[in-house]
Amino acid sequence: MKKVLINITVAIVAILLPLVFRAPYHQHILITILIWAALGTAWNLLGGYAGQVSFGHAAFFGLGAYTAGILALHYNISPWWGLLLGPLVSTLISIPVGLICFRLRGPYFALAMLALGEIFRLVFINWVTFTNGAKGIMIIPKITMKLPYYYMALGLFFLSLTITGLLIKSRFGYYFISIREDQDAAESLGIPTTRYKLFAFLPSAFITGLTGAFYMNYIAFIDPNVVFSLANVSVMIILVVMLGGVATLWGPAVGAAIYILLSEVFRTRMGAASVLAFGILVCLVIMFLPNGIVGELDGLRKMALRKMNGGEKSGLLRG
Amino acid sequence: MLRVNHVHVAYGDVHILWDVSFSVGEGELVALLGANGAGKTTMLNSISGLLHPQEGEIEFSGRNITRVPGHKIPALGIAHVPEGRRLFPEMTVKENLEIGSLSPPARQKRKETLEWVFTLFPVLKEKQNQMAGTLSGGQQQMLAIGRGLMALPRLIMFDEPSLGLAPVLVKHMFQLIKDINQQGITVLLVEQNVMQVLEVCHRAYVIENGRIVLSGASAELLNNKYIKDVYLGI
Repeated sequence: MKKVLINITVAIVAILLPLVFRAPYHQHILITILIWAALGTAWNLLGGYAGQVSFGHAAFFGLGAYTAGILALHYNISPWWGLLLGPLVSTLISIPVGLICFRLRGPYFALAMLALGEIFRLVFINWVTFTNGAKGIMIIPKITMKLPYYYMALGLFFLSLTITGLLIKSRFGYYFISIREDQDAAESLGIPTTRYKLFAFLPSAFITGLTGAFYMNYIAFIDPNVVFSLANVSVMIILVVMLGGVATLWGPAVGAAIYILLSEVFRTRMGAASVLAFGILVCLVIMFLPNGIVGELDGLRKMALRKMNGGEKSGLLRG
Repeated sequence: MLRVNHVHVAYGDVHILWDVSFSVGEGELVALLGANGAGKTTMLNSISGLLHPQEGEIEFSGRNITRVPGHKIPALGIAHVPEGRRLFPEMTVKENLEIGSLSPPARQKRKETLEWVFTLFPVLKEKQNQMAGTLSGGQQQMLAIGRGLMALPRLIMFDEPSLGLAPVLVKHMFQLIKDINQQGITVLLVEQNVMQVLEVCHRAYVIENGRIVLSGASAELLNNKYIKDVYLGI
């Protein structure tokens, strides 16, 4: 009951927020936060719960964005159709990628995914006739107000949160975590590990592609170095999740909010030095909050509960 | 029940098992004994489908399971309690047990099986909501065994269950394995602890450098000169 009330409050606040912050700049920040919250939540399903750390989610983000962009560029179809086709393309590509890369474990999987993201970036830069190369794709957006985009981004985040939440609360969640904790033991207990890794990968790639397609429509300009970026997409998703809390439902959203707000503050106050300040901050978080903000808070809450009840109360899912 | 015929296993160029053959009959408690690196774990991993032999056949209940992938083995009735326990430390004790019963028939009886495991290991019932990683070594070993039993196996394979346990617990552990066997479950036990294993098992095979060098009833082996010289040191 208490949980439902909290959820309703969060939803109402989220709906009313852009009516309080009316300046386009503020609304832009809110939209950016929601985009990163959606991306982080989707990454967390594969990287956090199933333990398959991907350094190449930019591949799926970029594919979604470019599907929308190329529809407009070559076929004169509204890039909004990209919201349907973009995630489909990302998901389709993720199937062979998963079947091949899930043969690798741990750091090798992470490196293979990193290479994948870079391969897509290079292909999209050099395949000029199809992708417009490094010039990128520009579209003329029909909607120029921020408010509709805000609610679309909110819907996107809600979708990402719902899919992840439903999956991890079902038996899939147990299987994902067992694969993360010990893949061989999971296999020997009868879990088809490759199949279940794919079950985490497909929705993750789907939402990442969908967010990419939304990004194309919202920003109205993409080029391969932006949407397939290793540092500004693939790694940033991971940092958002780490800051908020790996394998916690709300962690990526909290991480995204703090990350975007802080980086805006640093950027406006410090200029070029902001990157350095940010790097130091990330190091501090990794050292002192290894479970992320939500993860650490949850640990404190559990300790308090244990003291109150005298007994141990713990669940499979944190957060 | 289980029949291993002329199995060869290699990791790349490194040949581990050479022409290994043995069998385990219904209801038996059979041990596979040998020193470190003899190939015991490799043998178990081949049976449970985590590895596939280059040559030879593995047969279970008359069915050829040589090429059956690992995740399909438990549903056939084989449980594997791996070396070093391999629990899921960030899941609770109860969740670790529940995940042991994945095949549809085992899932249907999950509640009753859980009660049965709790009667075998009362300490697990006490700690069912605790993270598995917070248990002591002996309790973790019990949990690993319990997780194996949750699959309602006809054959359960233990890989060095005495590893890292205090001598008192080791004795207790072997007694437990004997009890499980007496409840009608066939057991294949892999161990280095030759003396104590020969006291509980029916038959044993001795494996050295990937080859079976000796086999027989446990009473026979206890009096075997070679065993006495090499493994028991008397």
